[in-house]
Amino acid sequence: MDKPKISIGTHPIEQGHYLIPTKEVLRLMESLIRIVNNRLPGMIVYGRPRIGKTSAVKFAIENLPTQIGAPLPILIANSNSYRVPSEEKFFLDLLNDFKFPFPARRKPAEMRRQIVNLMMEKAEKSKLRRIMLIMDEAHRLTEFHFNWLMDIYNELDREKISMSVLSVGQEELLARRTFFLEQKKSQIIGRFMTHEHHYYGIRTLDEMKLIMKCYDSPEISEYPENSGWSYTRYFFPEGFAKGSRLEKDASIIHQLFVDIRKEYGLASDFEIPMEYFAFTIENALKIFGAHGDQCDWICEEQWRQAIKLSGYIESEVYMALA
Amino acid sequence: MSRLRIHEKEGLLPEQVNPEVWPTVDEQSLSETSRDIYNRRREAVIMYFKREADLTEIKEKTGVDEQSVRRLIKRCMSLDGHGTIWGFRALIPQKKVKKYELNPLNTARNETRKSGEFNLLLAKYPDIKDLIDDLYLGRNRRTLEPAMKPKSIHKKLIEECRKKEIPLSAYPFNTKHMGYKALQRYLNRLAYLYFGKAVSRFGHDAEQKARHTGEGEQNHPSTIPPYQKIQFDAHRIDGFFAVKIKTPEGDEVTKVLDRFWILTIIDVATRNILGYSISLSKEYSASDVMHCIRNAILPHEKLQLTIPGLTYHEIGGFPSEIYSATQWAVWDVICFDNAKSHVANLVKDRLKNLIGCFTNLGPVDLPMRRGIIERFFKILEEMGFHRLPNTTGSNPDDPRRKDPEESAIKFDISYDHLKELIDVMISNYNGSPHGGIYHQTPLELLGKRLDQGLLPRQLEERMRSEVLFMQTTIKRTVRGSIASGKKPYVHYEGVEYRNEKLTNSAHLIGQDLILHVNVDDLRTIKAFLADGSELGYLTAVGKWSITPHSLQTRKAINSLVLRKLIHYTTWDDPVFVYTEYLMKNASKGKRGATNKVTHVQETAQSKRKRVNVPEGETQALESAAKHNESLEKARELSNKSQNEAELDRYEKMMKQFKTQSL
Repeated sequence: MDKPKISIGTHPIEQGHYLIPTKEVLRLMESLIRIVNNRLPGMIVYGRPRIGKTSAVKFAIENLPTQIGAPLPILIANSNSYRVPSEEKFFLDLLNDFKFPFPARRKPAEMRRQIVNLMMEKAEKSKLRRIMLIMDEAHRLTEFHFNWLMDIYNELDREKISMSVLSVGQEELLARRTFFLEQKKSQIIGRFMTHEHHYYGIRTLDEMKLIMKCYDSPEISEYPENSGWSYTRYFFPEGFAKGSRLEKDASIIHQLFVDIRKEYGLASDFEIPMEYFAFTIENALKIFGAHGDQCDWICEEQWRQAIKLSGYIESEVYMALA
Repeated sequence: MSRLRIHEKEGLLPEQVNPEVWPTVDEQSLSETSRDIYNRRREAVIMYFKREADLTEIKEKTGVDEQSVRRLIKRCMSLDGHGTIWGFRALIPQKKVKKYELNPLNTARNETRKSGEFNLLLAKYPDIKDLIDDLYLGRNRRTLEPAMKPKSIHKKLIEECRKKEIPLSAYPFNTKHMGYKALQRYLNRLAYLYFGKAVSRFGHDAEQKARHTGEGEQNHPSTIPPYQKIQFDAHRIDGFFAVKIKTPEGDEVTKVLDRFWILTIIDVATRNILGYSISLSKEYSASDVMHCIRNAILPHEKLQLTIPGLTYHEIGGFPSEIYSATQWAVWDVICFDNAKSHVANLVKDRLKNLIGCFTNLGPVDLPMRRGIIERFFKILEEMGFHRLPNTTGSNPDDPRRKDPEESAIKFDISYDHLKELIDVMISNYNGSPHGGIYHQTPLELLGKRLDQGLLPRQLEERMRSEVLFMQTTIKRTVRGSIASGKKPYVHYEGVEYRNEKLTNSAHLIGQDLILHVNVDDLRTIKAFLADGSELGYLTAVGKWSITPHSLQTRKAINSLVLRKLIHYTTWDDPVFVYTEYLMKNASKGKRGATNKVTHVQETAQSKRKRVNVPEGETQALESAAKHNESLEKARELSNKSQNEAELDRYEKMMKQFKTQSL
């Protein structure tokens, strides 16, 4: 098979617009399926910043309907921070995020009505009478926000439609829950925060191998579609033909990460955010691959360079300071 | 010449009338004019005594007139303050043989001169004199002030005088300073009169010294045979030292150790240092004392030196390195200073049953009674530690003390360096001439004494095992139950101990076992039945049998577990968990944690090969190690398979998905 001709700069690796099913993503997916199947009202997903939570959620949204075997309407909204949160702003943001064409810019009650109607419409269509709302950056949500969400929940409930709220955010989310517990706000916790899912970065060599396998395998990553050319094969056709695989290099990269962390005196637990790991691989593919230096395969020194270019060290150093 | 001479009167002492026994005078030390006067006086007195001439002739010959001869002779025959005769000393010009006393009835008195007024005051009011004496010497609870200053005493004196209604025109009120100067002079004289009491005004050390030294003779002025008598003492090293410790995250950090102890044993006869040990604890314990004793008896091995430029002197060394007769040599008497660790059961039992020596516990807090070892510590500090930049000096005001903690880190003066330094310093000390033994070197003297046949007693062949030094005996009941199916075991310091033999001897349940515990290494215990027959070595269950740990460490771990500060599972090595806890504390700067880490690591990773370890113990440890190893392997396997199963599941799931471009 000839190498597909792709103009430089359009490969997903170069554009950075691709999602791969890592082990953590699949773990999150399992949790989500459990929520949907058990009709649970809410769950919190938390993890360190830049670890890939949002992308994982996106991936999950795309694939959840096929996994459940029925279309499930999913709405995703970003929580914006305001100096003074108000019902008006919150609902307007929701409507905007839902791409509702004609938001009524007047009373909160009207806007809530619009939201509920939108949700009802989507839920009715799916026949499951279920809808899922994903709140990104949920650590910004305050007690008011949760109360307003509760209003929506209650209105939908009257129409026999159940909503599940997935709050995705940083580790402060847990602290928020503790705070609610102390304040005896059990109605909030009971609805939206009963279940939790800790989202991790890459912690072990095996996880790393799994991820790199995704780049290697044409069944998982392939571009252009149905061409049978995996990302690795496209950027390193000769090395790939000789049997080199990213998966086989995993132990080298793992060791490099360990060494580099030691070099910079990083004392925290070994947990590499997916974003930087992806950057590392993308760097390696872009710089040394078919569109760059056109090397046969990547050597250890090149991997080191790729890691350093990914900005991982800087981010970890600042993270340690914060 | 018929008249009775002065010295021929009755009632005189023999030494008064015999100028031949009178104290003499060194004429050379007198000035020329004084010497002339003295010589003439002396001649006159002798002539008078020998009846060589009458008084007119004496005057002609010597120029001393009649009256003066009589006056001088009376002076010579009077007694001085110590009760001895004045003799010829009384003839020295301007010598005062009688104290000045003011005669208040003397009408020719010059009122402006106050000579003798103070003494007169005290003589008139004896209770004032008592008050002053008591205040100055701290007697009779007149005041709580520890050492009253003359100024305050003066105030009391004046108050007392006012109470007595002494008129303002009379002494002391009629002087400028109200008799203050006279009081000062009086107090100075008082101090010399009551030396022992007055010296306590200058602190405990001075008082101790005044009370216990400079009088009489030692009951055993010299010890001749080497190893007959040894002195033991501990000394806190005047310096700070750094250690590098690895944090749980794998970084190396330098931490300063708290000051710690060096314990030494010195031979009294030859001044040789026989052995030493270093204790990292805040206070040294019985096991530290036993370490020192062990090191003194075991043949000493030279260290591998790592400090550039540091070498052993050729003529130095430890006795056991140089004279084979002193290997495994033991002593007859050991002198302690009665610290609490010296009366510990471990020490008492081992000294009696293993070394077979007498113990002289000695008095607490009297360093002069063990002067030899104290002098050694002074040498050690002055020749060594006080010259290092990390020294604390000998006291807080010592100018040599300049940020010792920082210097220790800055110049990287580590604990390992210290160990080398001490070994070299002591070894060199043994080879340097010593003033106390006529400037021979301790080793040289020891050699001479050994040549004379004064050979020390040596430890019996069967006792020559290192473990025996740290051994203590305890009794424990065998636990276990047929009803619940728990196999027999014994419990010691929070851990179960077993061996195959005990496990299969259910009939022993409820009976007492005698355990020989090596407090330095609790991994194994040697057990005996009540009748004394051996049961073999019991091994601590679980991970306690992996890392060597002392009784001290075990107790520390147990107490931390009890306080819920650390916890370990069956898969963890408790010593490792403890070390990690300590390291965390040490990097937080908790006091003493660094010392403890270093201590635990020393015990665990001691590179020194143990001498004559009993075979049973090694076997027990080996089988325990094998057991633990296989358990660890099993655990790893199960973990691995679990992990693999999980990964497989995810791999299968993954196949259902594709990467997506957004």
